[in-house]
Amino acid sequence: MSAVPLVEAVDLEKLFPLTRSATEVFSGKARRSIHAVDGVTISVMPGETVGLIGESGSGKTTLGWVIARLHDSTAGSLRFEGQDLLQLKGENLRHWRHNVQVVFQDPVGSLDPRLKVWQIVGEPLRAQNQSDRWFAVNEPKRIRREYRIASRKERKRLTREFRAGATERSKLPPAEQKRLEDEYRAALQRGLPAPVIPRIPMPPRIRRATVRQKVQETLPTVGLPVDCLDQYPHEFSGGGRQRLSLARALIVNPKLVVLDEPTSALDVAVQAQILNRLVELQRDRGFAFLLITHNVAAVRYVADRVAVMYMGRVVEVGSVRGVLERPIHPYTKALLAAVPVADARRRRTRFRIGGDIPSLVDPPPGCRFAARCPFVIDRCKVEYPALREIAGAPGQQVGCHRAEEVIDIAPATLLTTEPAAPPAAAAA
Amino acid sequence: MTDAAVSIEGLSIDYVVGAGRFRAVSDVSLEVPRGHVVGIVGETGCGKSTLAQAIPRLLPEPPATIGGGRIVFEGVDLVKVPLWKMPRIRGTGINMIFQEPLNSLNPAFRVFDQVAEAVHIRKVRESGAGNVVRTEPGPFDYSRRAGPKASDAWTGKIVPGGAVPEVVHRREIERRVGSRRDELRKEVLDYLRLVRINDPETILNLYPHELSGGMRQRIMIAMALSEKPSLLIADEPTSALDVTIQAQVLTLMKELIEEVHTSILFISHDLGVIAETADELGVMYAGRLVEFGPVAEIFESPRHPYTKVLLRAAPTRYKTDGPLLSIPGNVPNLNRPPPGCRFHPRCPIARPICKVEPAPPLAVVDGAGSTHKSACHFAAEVPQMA
Repeated sequence: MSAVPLVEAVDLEKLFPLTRSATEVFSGKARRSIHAVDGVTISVMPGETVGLIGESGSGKTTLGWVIARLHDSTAGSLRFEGQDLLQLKGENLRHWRHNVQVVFQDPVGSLDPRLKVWQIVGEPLRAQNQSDRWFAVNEPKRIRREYRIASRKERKRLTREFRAGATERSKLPPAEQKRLEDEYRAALQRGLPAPVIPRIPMPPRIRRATVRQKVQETLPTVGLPVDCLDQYPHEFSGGGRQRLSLARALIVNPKLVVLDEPTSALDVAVQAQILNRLVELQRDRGFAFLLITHNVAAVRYVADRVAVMYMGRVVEVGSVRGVLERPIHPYTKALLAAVPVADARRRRTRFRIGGDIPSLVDPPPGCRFAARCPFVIDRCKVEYPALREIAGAPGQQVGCHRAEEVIDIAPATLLTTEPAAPPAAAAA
Repeated sequence: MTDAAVSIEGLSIDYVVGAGRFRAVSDVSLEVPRGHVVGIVGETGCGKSTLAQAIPRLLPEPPATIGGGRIVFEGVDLVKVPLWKMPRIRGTGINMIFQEPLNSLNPAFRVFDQVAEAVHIRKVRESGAGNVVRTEPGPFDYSRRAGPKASDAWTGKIVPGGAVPEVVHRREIERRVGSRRDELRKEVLDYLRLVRINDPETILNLYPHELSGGMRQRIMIAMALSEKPSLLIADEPTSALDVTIQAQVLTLMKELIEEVHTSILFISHDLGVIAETADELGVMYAGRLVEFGPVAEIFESPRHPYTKVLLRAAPTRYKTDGPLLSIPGNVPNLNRPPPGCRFHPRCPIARPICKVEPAPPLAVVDGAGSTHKSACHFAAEVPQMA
């Protein structure tokens, strides 16, 4: 594993502004916004799987979309192999896109029902071919244009400096003056070193037969038969559609695949097949995955590292064994305790963490989990706990003021067999 | 009559699609005892939802047809009840909670109106008021067609032997049964509190899209309970929710079973959810019930190879521990089910007899006193299966 992370996000933020009513606009009320992703720092190394878990509404899908540049972030920095992603736009962005591909949440909605399998799976190939052809023409032009702009700036800088030194020069002997002037003229003449203009061969327009052949080669890697090129997506089961979606993402050989709930619509047996396939693909072809899910079991099996998100913030990051076996943050504990276990002995227990996710519209300062946390203290409500490493859990970062105190509390204690407090209702 | 909320005997359901006909549910017998939760698990397409919808006769008929068997509910065979009489049974007798709470709530009405409608309908039924004067009472009133019709009053027709039907305004009915808006409001609030909704006064005036998934599902449960059903069918009630909300809804359902005496048929493909909720468990494969018994016994010692591999497919390990065990092959096409036992092409302990002889009917596995049944020739060998 190299030291340069594939994707590195620092304090990434995505706000969705709310519309104001006319009264609010004229009374000068500030625009409020939904803080979907609120200062997230996360990195993915090449060939690594990072699991992103959290409840719905915690911003994990938005984060995935921002990393794939499907949403524009509102603040923060995002780097891909050291290159600043937020600077890319237009066709340059499109040419970059083959590096990161997305498998979307809804396998029915993300496949066009009127296209055949080879058209769906081959579409990224056509798009990339178009983009490559554009690149072959425009990359030399871009380099020349940049060179032109840079040398104009350089000329202006030289002239400015030469003129600014005129009074000082006049005090020097004439021979010296002459030498400096010649130097200046020579520098103007010389300009900047000539740019290396790459010769990019123009790729030919991709042909239907090539697309079909490439699709045919890709389908077996996700476990689909090769003879289904001319079928429509409705002829596939849920697992089959999810495989199609995966094939479409893998056909352009991406470096990172963002998997947004890849197995939540599938049942246990099919889920096991897809997860096995993901692990095999990563071992054989070295993809990096960002696995966005609320299914803790899937993350346990596929991921190397896990980030737990709550209300737009990452509350805990660490290795999969560390976080899932020894969760530190109270929210992680609650999340793990809530997972139903296929064990008939753990029955008739009651989950103690109540309430829904609070509103994401301009959330108050302090820890986001304070309203639901059983270990809350006054400090949690005013000061936001930054991610930090604590003693006793190397390689694991947690955002909790009381991390040292709660580290030894087992998740199971958030469950109780005591009956609930009698409700106020009298309808029986 | 046995002490069962509903008992299904040899039920088969066929779908007729185009020229083909396939049997989605074949020869299923099961009983939901009163006050119990019976879980049904199985892969997609094994017929569990078809079974769930067949009990209140919600299946579209055609294409679906009930090919045989009985569904005995309160002494009535629902298969023989004509469809137009079913609405009388559906509300107060059998109620359903569907998988997608957003799709099952009406987006154009506030929460109050939707819950109030259910409460109002129950009140009208209980009081016997309506725009028709009914002549015969019964456990379920099927007499709508037997008695005089509402239209008779409008045409001034004199009904032989019956009272002249009374036609009254909707408001008058509401006055008689005590379901004016303010009266309903109190009851609706009670039901919302019953499903542990904080601040029900605010929630009443919201539309479904303003609520979170867990909240919507709780509204659905409130609506279902407000009709006081004796059987509640929950078809994947928590599949669309995520774990913490799912845990809350499951906790709530477990508490409600004791508070309002109802029986639940719980359909899910999530083994964890079933393990935490159900008392008895039925496992379905390709339209057949392959195993049935107390949930703890099935989880500890499954007696059908399908149950065993299904339990093992749940991911519980790390990547470094080796691949997950999945079930080889696919769910059989019900157009042409494999001959013999339907599970034999994927079964790790299949023998030649499984290919020719159909699977035996559900039989008790552990001596006479047990209720654990399995439909496998080699049920005794399953515990030793590798």
